[in-house]
Amino acid sequence: MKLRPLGVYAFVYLAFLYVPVLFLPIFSFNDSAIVAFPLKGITTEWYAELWHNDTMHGALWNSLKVGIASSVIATILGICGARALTRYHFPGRAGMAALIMLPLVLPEIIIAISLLVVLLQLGFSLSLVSVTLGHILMAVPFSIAVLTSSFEGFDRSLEEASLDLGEGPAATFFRVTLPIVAPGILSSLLITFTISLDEFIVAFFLSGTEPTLPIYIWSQLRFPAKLPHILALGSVLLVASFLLLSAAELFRRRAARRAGIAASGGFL
Amino acid sequence: MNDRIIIEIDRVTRKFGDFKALDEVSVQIREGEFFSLLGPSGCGKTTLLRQIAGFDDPTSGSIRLAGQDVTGVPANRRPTNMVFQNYAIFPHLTVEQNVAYGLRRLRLDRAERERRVREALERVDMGHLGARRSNEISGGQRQRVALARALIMRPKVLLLDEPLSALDKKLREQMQVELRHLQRAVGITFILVTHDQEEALTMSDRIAVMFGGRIAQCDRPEEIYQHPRNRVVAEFIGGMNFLEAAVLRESGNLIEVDVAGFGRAEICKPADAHINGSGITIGARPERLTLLFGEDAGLNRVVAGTVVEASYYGDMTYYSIAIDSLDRPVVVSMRNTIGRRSLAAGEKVQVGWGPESLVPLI
Repeated sequence: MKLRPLGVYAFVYLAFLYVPVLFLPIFSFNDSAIVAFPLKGITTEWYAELWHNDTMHGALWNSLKVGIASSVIATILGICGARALTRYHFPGRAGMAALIMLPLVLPEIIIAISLLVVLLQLGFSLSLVSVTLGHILMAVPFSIAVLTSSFEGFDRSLEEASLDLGEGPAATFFRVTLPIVAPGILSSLLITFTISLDEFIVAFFLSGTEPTLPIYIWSQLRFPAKLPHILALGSVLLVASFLLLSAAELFRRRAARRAGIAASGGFL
Repeated sequence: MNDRIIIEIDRVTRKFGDFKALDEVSVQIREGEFFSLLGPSGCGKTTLLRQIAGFDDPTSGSIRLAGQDVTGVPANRRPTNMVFQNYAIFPHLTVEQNVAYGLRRLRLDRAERERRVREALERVDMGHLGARRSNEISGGQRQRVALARALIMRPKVLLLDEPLSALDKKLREQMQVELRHLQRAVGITFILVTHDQEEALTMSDRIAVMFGGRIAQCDRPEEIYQHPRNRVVAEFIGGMNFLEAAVLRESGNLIEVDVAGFGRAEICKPADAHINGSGITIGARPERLTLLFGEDAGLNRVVAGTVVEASYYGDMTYYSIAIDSLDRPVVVSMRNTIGRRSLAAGEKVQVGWGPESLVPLI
């Protein structure tokens, strides 16, 4: 087979992206505290250790709380925003859309520092609540991007058809509107939850004394002996994020198909 | 069809800001009638249909449906059903579930519900496709599903919002015939919104031609075509030559006119039309004029002209004929029947006409 330059480029590119990530699970099964080749043997000891680590469990629980709260709130805000942006035309609509999407490209550290300054000035003490606020800010643009694709094609005459066939507004919402946009909402929840779960910088600045999982991981890096079990935790997190985002993309495509437009865009 | 009135629209006005989408529209629609609202886009025909369906309420005026005032009653409590322009098939449901959608509120038992769905699908030749997902069917099939979904409700009035405009020409012509048959079979009043004059003429019992939020003329297709009341209606429907004429004499329903380029004729005018001034516009359909080839010189009124252009349509040829005293050519259509030769540009011809060629547009 002839070696094509573009094929080689694609291969090198993908390798650069994913090979380092692959070392994480590989070393997490290595029977040694030192991260180096050759591998000493296979063990699941590091994973077993995760079961008995209360500090880690506390951090995980914090992350779940923040993730659930911020994904639900970000998705509700996203529903309102996406519906307004797709259904109504009002002055300043394009500018507003751009401003909402801006956190996607702003440096996270800038967002984190400015949030920290503002919250302290307002007299908030740092806690999981402040982390949640920060994560909502980070997640809303993703939520809007996902929901826009399921709302954009939503045909208003579907709701009219339901009314015309004798159903009232409430039944119409549950029998037509919700089923059609539900996959999009689910997709938004999963994506924003994943974003919150993986987010480090904002949590680092705003979490105070209650660490989230990424903060915990970072804090453990100081102890070389703890490294293997961080690798195990990282692998678990990696797989969880991958599964969550795959599910989210699956739902987003279904939502777009239901709304009658070809699946396009998206994050995966 | 009988003479009972099923829908009575009484001086309905609908304003959007300062714009009057409907301006004091009054019309009565009979039970079992195939009624069309015909007009260019923006004339208010869809707005009027949505008023009947209950998606929108009039700014003033009232709508009576089967003897009851339904003004302000929401769509879900009106005995009307609609076939939407884009069909509005529920994308998350199968064909069968779409058709059965409105039955939930009737609380039928399972066997009865299934029987009705099957019957409705068979009525539109979709009996074999009930289990299909709604994104797996073609445009023509979507339209049939939309029809079945509306008809299963046994509405007093079925509203159709440009249902054929998304279909290609061949399928559209086929569906025109099918819709007409279906309407006769179920005996339900159909109200069709269309901008396609041919569609309105072939399908309707009566047509209301709308312009600028008003009904310009409401009558049977033949009347609309042969006796358009004014120039906008005449222009919108079919081809028409517009000729200037002087009114010489008026007596009852008869007027004597002197048509520029043609000559004098005595023609009928509508009893309620009043002539202001001494000149009027006369319309003459291309097929109500003829070209004389020598063999059929029976018509006694003839003017001389020259062929400027011949447009060949297969079954018909449309000739533009320059007549000496007219600054614009007159269009005459001739059916290309056996034995009739085609004329070429530059040939001299005789244009035959008579009083029956002429329609006063007042």
